Amino acid sequence: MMKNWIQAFSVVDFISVGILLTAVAMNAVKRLESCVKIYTLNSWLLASLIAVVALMVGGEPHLYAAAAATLLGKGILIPMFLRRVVRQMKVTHDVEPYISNALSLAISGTLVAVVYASLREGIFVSGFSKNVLQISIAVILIGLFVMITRRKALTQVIGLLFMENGLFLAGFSLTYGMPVIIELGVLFDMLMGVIILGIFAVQIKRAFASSNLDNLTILKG
Amino acid sequence: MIAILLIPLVTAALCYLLKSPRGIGYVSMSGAVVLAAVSLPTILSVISSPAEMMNGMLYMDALSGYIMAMVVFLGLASALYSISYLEHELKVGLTDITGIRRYYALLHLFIFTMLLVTVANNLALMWIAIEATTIVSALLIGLGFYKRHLAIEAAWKYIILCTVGITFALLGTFITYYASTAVMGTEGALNWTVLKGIAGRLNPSTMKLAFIFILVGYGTKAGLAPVHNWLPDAHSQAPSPISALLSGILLNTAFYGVMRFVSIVEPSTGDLFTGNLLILFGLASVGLSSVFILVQDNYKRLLAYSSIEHMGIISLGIGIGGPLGIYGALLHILNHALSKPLMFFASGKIQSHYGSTRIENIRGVLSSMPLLGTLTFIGAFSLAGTPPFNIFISEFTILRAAVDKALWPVVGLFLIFVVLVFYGMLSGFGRMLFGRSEDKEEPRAKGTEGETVSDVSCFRSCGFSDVLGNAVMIVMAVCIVVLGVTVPDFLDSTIKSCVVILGIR
Amino acid sequence: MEYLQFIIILLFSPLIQGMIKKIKARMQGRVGPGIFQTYYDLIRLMRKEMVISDVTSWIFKATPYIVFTSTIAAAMITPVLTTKGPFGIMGDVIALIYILATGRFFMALAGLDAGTAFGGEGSSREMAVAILVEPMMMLSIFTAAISVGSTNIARIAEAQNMVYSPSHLLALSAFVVAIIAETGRIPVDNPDTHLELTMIHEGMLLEYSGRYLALMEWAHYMKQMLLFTLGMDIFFPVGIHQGTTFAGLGISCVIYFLKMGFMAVLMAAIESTRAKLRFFQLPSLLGGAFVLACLSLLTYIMMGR
Repeated sequence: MMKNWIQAFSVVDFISVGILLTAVAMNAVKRLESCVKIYTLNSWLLASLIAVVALMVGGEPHLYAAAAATLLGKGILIPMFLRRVVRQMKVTHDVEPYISNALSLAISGTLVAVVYASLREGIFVSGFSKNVLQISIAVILIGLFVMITRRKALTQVIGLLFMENGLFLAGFSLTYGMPVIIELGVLFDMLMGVIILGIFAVQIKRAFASSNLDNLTILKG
Repeated sequence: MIAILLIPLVTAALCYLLKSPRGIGYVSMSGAVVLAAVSLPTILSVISSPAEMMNGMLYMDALSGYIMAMVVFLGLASALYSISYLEHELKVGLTDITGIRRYYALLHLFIFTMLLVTVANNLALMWIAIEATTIVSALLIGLGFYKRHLAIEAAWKYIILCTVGITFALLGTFITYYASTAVMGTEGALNWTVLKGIAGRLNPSTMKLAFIFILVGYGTKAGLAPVHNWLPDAHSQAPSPISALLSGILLNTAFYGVMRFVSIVEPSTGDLFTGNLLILFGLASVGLSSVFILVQDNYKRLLAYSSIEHMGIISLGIGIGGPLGIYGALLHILNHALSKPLMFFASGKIQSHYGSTRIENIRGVLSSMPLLGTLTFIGAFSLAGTPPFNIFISEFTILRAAVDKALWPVVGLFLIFVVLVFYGMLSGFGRMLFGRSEDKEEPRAKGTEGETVSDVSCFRSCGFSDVLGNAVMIVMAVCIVVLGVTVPDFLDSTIKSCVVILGIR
Repeated sequence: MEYLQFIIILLFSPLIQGMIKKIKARMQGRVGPGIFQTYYDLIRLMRKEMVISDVTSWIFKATPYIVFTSTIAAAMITPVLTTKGPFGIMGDVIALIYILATGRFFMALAGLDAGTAFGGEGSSREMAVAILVEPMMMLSIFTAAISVGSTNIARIAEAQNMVYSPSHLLALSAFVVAIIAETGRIPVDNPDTHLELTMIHEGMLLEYSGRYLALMEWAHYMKQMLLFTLGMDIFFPVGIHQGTTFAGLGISCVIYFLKMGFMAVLMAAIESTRAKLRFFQLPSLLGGAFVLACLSLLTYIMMGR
């Protein structure tokens, strides 16, 4: 019954478009706290997508565990840690990025179009997986783009996190979830990675008296 | 196998809990010795017959044993050398007891993660282990020691670039899993042993896509051009024993991942696709590093670029293929794992003696410190690819494989780049080694990084820790010379069984 | 009967404007003018004497009539209560947008005609906004048109399909931003003030008085109601009648006014909860909405619905 309801209202499509929308919206925000909020929203949508697919496919309890782990790790713990780092660094505004917000919005829109166009033929999955796979690759590229065009250390980290989210989504659409141990391991790795990055971001602020990554160009050649 | 994995964890915990620097040093050394002792029988046994554990998650065969032997040996060497290195740094005031505790704990944690890579059968587990090595080594580079801002910059670049790269590698792993579901039904396989069995039936275009992602991902970690930018910074800013581990074995474990994937991808796509990609990346690495070696003025960065070059040579070897090419690549892994750490250890001593990492500030090492000078001489000539040292043999083997397959452009470019590297390395280290040191009393100058210099007697002292450090370097030099002349039988048969594992093409 | 639908827009647009003002006032804690105040204002303006500057040309005198008639023409080709009608090729949404553009063109000219600084400023700003808004509006309408296979508004309204799909909702949000920009509401323009900083539409009307001003204002209210109707027809055509039976028309009428009421509340809510953007920030907002419209089209192409 629930399955038909989900199918009729194409909930899965909505959630995946929501994930894409939050990734694109990342280009438009200026304040660091808003970036963290958008990332949190993205992670929640990701976890809910996994849960909805679990409901639809039925009979695979490890998917529920994966959804819960994603929600806990990416939706709660990582944003909490990021907010703490933002407070520690005492910055709220992002310096004007290399590309203005409007232009980067346009470029990420173009990236989405490019992904759709190039993956129309020759993709080896079909149906629900195809939509989600295209969206996930678009999210990965947008995350990479955000990483390249931002100046503050913390926005680079958030771009990296978007990339990981997109990757998780891609893996999920391809594999319908892997054994829970693997997913827990991957999540734990990511958590550790984010914590380390946060520590380093604070260290950069302390050592260079600014978290502007333009200062990190001493080592060259 | 589990015991092997647990030992470094226990050592790490113990090192963090102790309080006296000397005590920690010896605890770490004994931990490394115990690890070597316990792992040796396992390694010897798996070379002949593979072993599988934990429901297929862990697996060891000759290739794993080969790499694990290098991990254990280099771990032991680093642990031995670190004792005197850290004592010196503590005396000079560059670090404190907390730094030492953190360093040793992270060192053994690092060894644990690398061991995990070699025993992982499940490809996702291997990915997790490689990501873990990135994280732990980033901590070692930037924070495990003294928090200098250049080290923080290097560690930041390292962790960002490597994590982005590894993300792509995870995508490649997922695509491989997807390809396996097409063959095996809904429950696909991630275990290498299972995938090797069905490798011939996997969809070629899917596997091609997967391989591209894997090569970009793990290639970033292995330091292949053009995604190598983090390497010079990271390896030059890390403490010397850590640089030795990073260059000597961490890059090789990333290559281990690539090799495992090559053996799965090749049966379905044919060897031309993977071979060409590997040759392309390999030549790019060798070429790029040769240019940069010529203009270096910091000898630790010079060694880092040399690592990139040798990784390029290994990639060339695997790309050229055939039993000779793969044999050469595997032998080169071992040879590089002997020569590069030797050079990093020696450069660590030079740095602590002269207080600077710039080539122009250092003169006459041979005359003022004969033993160290000779060892540096052996290492530098070995890295440049000169006979009668070991790297020459493996480079020659790879070159021979290229000639056998009539890949003349590859041969030509390779020779040009190797000559450039030869000139660069020798001019750099030659300037340091020869000539007279200005003044016996001279080395009191403050180094460019603000480190103070120890007194000369520190190196010549007969403290037990210094003897240990010297002994390690001497052993490695001896191996280099021996391997330059001949390849012992047990080594030969080991490498041959590894070649068989990877699938002769 | 179906020819006379536009009379509804003609007659009731001031009422909609009054409703929006009243709801806004209530939301902001004021009492506000009565709902019918707009009618009284129009009648008052009609009776007043006009003051026309000497330096203006025939454009100044012609524009109010041109704007008024073009808006009525646009209203004639929009289905209000029923989709049955003589729309044919004239019922095309592209035609509608460009009929409205004619009115805007002449308004901009008239603003320049009087030679005042405010008029020129209003005209240039209006054109800048128009450049950004028109493609966005077109794209979001195209998304709906592609799914139906025709750009005829009546056909789109008749299809009554996929009200609820991701691409549709994205296109709807982009269209709402377009409505706000076209009707000159906060956050694009402030319709209540005549301050230099905040005038776009008002700037162009500043020189007008008396009968001309009444015509221009009325045309503005009609455009607003027209855009509401267009949005509802394209994105939420539930309840529109497809014939000319009396009962059907009656139901359709009730539903129509409910929809208009909803739009009025929406506009008032948006106006009360947002601050007006600086003019230099408008390209960011409109660019973002344009990307939203692009995404809706891409999503439709990718997902097929």
